[in-house]
Amino acid sequence: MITTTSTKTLDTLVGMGQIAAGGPPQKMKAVVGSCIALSLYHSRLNRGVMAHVVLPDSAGRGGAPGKFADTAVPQMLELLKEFSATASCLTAKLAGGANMFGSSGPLQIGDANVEAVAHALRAAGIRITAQDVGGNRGRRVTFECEGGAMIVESAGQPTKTL
Amino acid sequence: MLETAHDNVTTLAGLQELFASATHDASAAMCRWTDGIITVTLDEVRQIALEEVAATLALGDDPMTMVVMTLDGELGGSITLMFDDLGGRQLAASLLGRAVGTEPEWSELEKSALMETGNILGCAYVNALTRLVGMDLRPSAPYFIQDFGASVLQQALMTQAAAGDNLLLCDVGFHRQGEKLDWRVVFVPTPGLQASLQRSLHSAP
Amino acid sequence: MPRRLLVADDAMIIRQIIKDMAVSAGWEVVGEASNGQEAIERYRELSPDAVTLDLVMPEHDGLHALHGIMEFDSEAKVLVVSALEQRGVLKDAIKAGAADFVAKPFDKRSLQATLEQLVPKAGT
Repeated sequence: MITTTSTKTLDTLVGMGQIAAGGPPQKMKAVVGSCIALSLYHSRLNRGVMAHVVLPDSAGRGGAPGKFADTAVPQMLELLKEFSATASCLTAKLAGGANMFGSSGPLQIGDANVEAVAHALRAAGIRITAQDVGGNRGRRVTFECEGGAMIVESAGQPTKTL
Repeated sequence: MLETAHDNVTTLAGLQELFASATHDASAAMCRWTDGIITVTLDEVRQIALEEVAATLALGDDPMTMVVMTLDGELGGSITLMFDDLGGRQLAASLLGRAVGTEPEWSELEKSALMETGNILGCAYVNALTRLVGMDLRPSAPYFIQDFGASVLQQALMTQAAAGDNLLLCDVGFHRQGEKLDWRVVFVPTPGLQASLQRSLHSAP
Repeated sequence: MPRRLLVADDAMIIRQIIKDMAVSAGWEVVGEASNGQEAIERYRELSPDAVTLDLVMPEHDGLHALHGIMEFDSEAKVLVVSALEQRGVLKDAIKAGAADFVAKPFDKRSLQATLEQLVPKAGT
């Protein structure tokens, strides 16, 4: 699950199924439609991790751990373990889960992704503090490891800071 | 049996030939639709990792104008036409025989012109692939979307993403009277359709 | 009395092209439909002399419409106009009662000639 980090800006592009962890001044970026950009942040340690979740349930299948909601959350916790971060100290933010082709279009997966991520976070005992999910628009997401903000941009819409 | 690297190259080469032939038919249809102005050619057939889709296709940060058609079922896939906004409007204007639209919002007729382009191109591919696999492939009606390319493509690739971490991607470029345009068609078959196409390669005389 | 045509296609541009062609050839375009179910309902309301019918449409497709129209009127003159040119699909359409088929992208004169054959002008 190699992510691409620009050495000039320390922006890490988190592609489909990937997970990236880091600290300030790093920023993680993803463009999501039906996928979910999920961030976990530890305010005292000022460390964060972001996953680009594609599908709700691995159903025991292999694949990049960040790809499925049920495998992404445990893997994200694993990456934060080295900093002695525990689930109860983490806050989660999520963005995405859109239905890009409208409610009657094909391949409706956005809502299922949102529900699966929320379920996985509940199971891990992690509180969701903010989210921008659903709708029919794509989102360009930036997660800032300094402070834990998640910036969400949608075409033709005002930028949101979660 | 694991496919060797040599097998993989041979398979990709075979699929390249197959999609080049289908693209030839699609180009003929596109040429008729645009009164001889626009043609398409196959740029590349490649195997890429899911996480590399956006970067490989250089989808960038700006919204694009796209038309998406899907093929449902095991022998399925998605066909996505991608234009920059001005390019899309120019094509629509040319098809409608009028000046390029300048209103911020596209009119229903402009959208329709682009969707029908998607329908004609998509069906041309589907017709060619149907002859190869010997089973009817039924495409969806086209969807017109203006949004981040990566966002749209993600949902169009859901079936493929559920099946594995690698995709077969066919990248097709547009030309206007010999000049390469910054538009493309991306066709991503499901593993089922890909396997069916591979079988047709091996059974070909 | 002009011949009456119903145009069924989800693409506004195609409906426009067919309408313009038909009107210039002396037809009266009495209605339009943008999906298969609408095509059936409009046919029942209007009883046109002929229908041009796309196959790939949202909600209910052209084959659904064809079955519905032929069930209502076994003598209906339905011209399928579609980019989907597959042996199985064409066979299904003819079996369901389609009178003829024109592939997209079509030449307007060919489409006009095919319509003329289906419903010749009175006195021809």
